[in-house]
Amino acid sequence: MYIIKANKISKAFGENKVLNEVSFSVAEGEIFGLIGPSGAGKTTLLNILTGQIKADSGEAFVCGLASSDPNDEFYLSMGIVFDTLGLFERLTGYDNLAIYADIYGIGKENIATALNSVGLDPNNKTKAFQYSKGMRQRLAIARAVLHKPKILFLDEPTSGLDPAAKADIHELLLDMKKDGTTIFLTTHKMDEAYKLCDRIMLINNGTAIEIDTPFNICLKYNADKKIIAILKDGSKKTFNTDEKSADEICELLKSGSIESLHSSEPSLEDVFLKIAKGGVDVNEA
Amino acid sequence: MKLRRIKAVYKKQFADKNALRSVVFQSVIYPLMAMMFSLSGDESEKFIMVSTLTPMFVGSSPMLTVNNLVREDKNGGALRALTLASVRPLEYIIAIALFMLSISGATTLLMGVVGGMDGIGLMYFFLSTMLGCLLTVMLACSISLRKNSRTNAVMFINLISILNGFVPLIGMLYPSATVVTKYWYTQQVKEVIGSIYSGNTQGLWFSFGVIIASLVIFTLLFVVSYRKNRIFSQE
Repeated sequence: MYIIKANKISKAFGENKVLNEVSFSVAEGEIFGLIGPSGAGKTTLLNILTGQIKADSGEAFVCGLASSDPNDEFYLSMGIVFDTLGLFERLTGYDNLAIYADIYGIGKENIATALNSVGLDPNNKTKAFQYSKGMRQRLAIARAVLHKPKILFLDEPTSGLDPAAKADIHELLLDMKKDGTTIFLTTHKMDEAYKLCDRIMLINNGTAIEIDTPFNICLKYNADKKIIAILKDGSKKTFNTDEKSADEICELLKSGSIESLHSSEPSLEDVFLKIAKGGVDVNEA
Repeated sequence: MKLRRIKAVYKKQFADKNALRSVVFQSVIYPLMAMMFSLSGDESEKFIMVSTLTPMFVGSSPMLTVNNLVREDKNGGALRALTLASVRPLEYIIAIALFMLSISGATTLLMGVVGGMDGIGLMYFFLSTMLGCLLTVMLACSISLRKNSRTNAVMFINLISILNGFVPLIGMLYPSATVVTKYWYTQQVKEVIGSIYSGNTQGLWFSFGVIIASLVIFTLLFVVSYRKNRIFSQE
């Protein structure tokens, strides 16, 4: 069952066409990544999906509700963490969430649950502005999941975080996925997309280039189709995928001179760079 | 529109103790000044201080405060977070206005007491100043909604708040200017105070008439600004 459905979304700011007939859908319970270089249209698409701006044409539905006309039910179905976080800086983590508990009309007992779920102490009296970047990010996620939304939107969730804090957030998101939360995230970090996302959409200049699993996309852009053998003497040998190469590899294996074998499909980062530099012909792959 | 969302945003203003302290200080400074300058004086000095400082407070303090609160929420992203949590722009504005009116109410009561008013006089004073504060809040919201740039808004709000607060002084220094200024609400707040001290309540009808007419005009202005609002938009 699809929890997000976007159909031919287009958007321009003045003369600048930011999105061009973007269509995709996100299944319930998956982590879907929106990947693209800066200025590709990721945030605009996120803003359209979450009802913050209206598309010029096309339609988007979240939990079956039109994002062009967001009502209370629409907002309650989602939790959102965006780049500026929007915390009440001079309030504690608990007090930040208490305001939102009142807004949603839910019990205060949910606050401790949400804070605990992101590893923050509900009794911590530190003000939000004194939090580390990672803690602020976690507080924003706690706020987003406070009302137990069906879908969580995250705009660059680990931007500016150190590797440890980034790993914490990744773990947290994977735990949420296990609990059945659908996650839609935008990122330009390929390792993050590869690690977290079930499927990704590569977007460039407002056009969706690819929608598939990260693994399949890497396979698809494997233009070289080579096999690399690292030999025990430390040298490297590259083979094609034809019959002759297969025989050669077999010989080397039999002689015990191969340390390891590798396929040569590009990393997601290579695909991304190719797209960012505009070197992708959609039909090429 | 949901009352619980208005209440939540209203409560948030009180939860932020630092911001609350600065808002209270910015407001209470007016009655404190009136008290200081009229401590050793007689009734006429009290009248001068209260009738000068009250319209200044009514015309400028709520405007500066409302603009600061909205701008801080806007620039820090809190306004966006609230909107995405289903808080409607009108609910937010009502909450901010109610917060400002609560602070203004306490301040004007204090000002009335400092000015030695009581009974029906205090009631007229409170009513006129509260309506005046409401008008200032509406004006501030209308400007804030239209100005997306922080610099533009701050510059404009500062200018308007100074002019607004000083209208009665202009009228006092240049009596011929009252032909125009008498139709402005801060001037009429001053006239109400004058009527209370003189005991001549004949002019109250005109004063409250101007204030009520301003309320109608400012509501229309607010509606137009709200429809064209840019501050809640991400575009």
